[in-house]
Amino acid sequence: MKQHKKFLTRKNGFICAFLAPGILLFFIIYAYPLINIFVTSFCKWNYKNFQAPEFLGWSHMFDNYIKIFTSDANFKMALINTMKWVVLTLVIQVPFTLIVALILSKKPRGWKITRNVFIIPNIISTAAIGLIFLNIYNPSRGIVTEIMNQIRPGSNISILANEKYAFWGVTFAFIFFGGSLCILLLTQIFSIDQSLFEAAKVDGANAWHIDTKIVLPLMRPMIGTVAVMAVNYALLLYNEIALITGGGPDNATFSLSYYIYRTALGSTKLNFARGNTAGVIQFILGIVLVGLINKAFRTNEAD
Amino acid sequence: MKQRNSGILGRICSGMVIAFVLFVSLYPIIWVFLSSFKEVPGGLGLPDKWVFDGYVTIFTKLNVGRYFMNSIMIATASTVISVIIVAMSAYVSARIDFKAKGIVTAMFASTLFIPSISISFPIYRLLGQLHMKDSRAGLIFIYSGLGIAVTFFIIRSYFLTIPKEMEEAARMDGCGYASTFFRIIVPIAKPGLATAGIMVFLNNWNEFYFASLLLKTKEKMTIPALLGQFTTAYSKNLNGMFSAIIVAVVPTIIVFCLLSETFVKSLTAGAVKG
Repeated sequence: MKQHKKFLTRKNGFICAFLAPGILLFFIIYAYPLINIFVTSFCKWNYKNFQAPEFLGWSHMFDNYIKIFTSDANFKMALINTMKWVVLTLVIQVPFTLIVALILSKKPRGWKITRNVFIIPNIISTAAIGLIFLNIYNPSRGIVTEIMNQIRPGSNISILANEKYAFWGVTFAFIFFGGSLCILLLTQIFSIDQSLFEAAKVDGANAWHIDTKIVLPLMRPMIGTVAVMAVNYALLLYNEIALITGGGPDNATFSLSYYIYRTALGSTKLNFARGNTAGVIQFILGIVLVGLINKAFRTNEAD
Repeated sequence: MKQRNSGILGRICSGMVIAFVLFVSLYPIIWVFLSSFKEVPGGLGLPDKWVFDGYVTIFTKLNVGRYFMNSIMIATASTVISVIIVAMSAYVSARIDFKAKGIVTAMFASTLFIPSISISFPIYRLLGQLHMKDSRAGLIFIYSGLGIAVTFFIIRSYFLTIPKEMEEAARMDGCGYASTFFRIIVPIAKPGLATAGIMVFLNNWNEFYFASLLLKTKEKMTIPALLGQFTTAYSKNLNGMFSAIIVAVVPTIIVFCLLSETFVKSLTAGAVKG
């Protein structure tokens, strides 16, 4: 009995010692900041009272939320743009990546090279991608302007100076880069039991039938996972905006992440409470979107 | 006959899609590469005269080696710390029965849903209070915690594949819990740890947001933070900017070409199991 007790304390000691660093990291990097943004989103907190956020009072506790939705043009722009980017990843990036995966799964000549080349934009730093596209859109020697001048001489188009074009400028800097999503889909396709395909072929099914009737239904949970990852990227979009447009022209390409940065950290206003309010909204939006996508693809069933 | 026609059509379509994929993935890099050798970077076609001014500037005036050293140091340190800490927690969660086990696993999983930018202001402020704002140690600290959910599930699922008999045998021989972990489990789990490590390293190597937010002293900057500087300070020096982009991305591409299968495995590990 005594032996057993000694054994138990040793076991508990081990558990505590091994979990402590992980739990500490979790509390410092995730839990504390998350609680902090929730609490301060109900506070008055800007450069005037930098050291001490003040609670807005029970009757006014939602003021930051009310103001951000009613009288903050930048936030409105950021929210609309972010939702547009989220939708665009779902209607362009995910289907495009899926089509590429289906084609590569037939192992045509050069499929491995194509797969690897497709991953390259995902593994090099987005800072580099951002700078590359900044130059591609450069009105003086950028490739887009040059090509447009070949088609319509003298048009001298400037993507980043135009509010409508700038949005698409940011979009094309990430929307086709689905290489790492593609390999997830490919791995999943390759794990499908080959005998299913054989049986279908015997029954006279062609490639199109096999893809739509067998592969896609089996892929459903993985497509859901890929959609979650793609949507998450769009929801958090920051680097491309910071490097290519800087939120401009005229704040037309703000995203939620860029709004948070500019509101709390990167401007003279330093409205910390407002930035944290947007952070809470971004966090909740993420959970809602993940929930909706999981429901649509019923990924829960797989568990 | 009809079957064959649709086959040819299908092949043409798939060929076009493949060509499109190769084009969108490669042209930005190839265009920047060719442009970096031009007297005035940009435009279409090959350089009229090949000049190397940009590269000379990068290697002599900018001291690019220093930024690579910073990146290597920060990414390596944070990867090692992160993998060790997460592996310890993942082992307990995978192998040992205790009451709060579910909570610990849920805790790591929940970090997947906390976007690092929404919580960046409190982190920024906390580092300010610790006087770690403009420091490499501060960045290593943050990077150690970023993305722990995926690392946790990769490592945990690898631990679950190790037969329990291994530990029981070690226990019989009088090995304690900690020494069983370090002497028996870690060596067996090396492939799983490496898979997770590659992914963490890649993310930390490329991380831009916190690097540009925290590092203000040029000597401390990582490669992505350095690239961020070009949008403002160096925009006049186009040759330098184009060369810097190439110098920044080429090492990653070379390593990827050499180890593509390993990379592919790392990139798929998280989602397949998680």
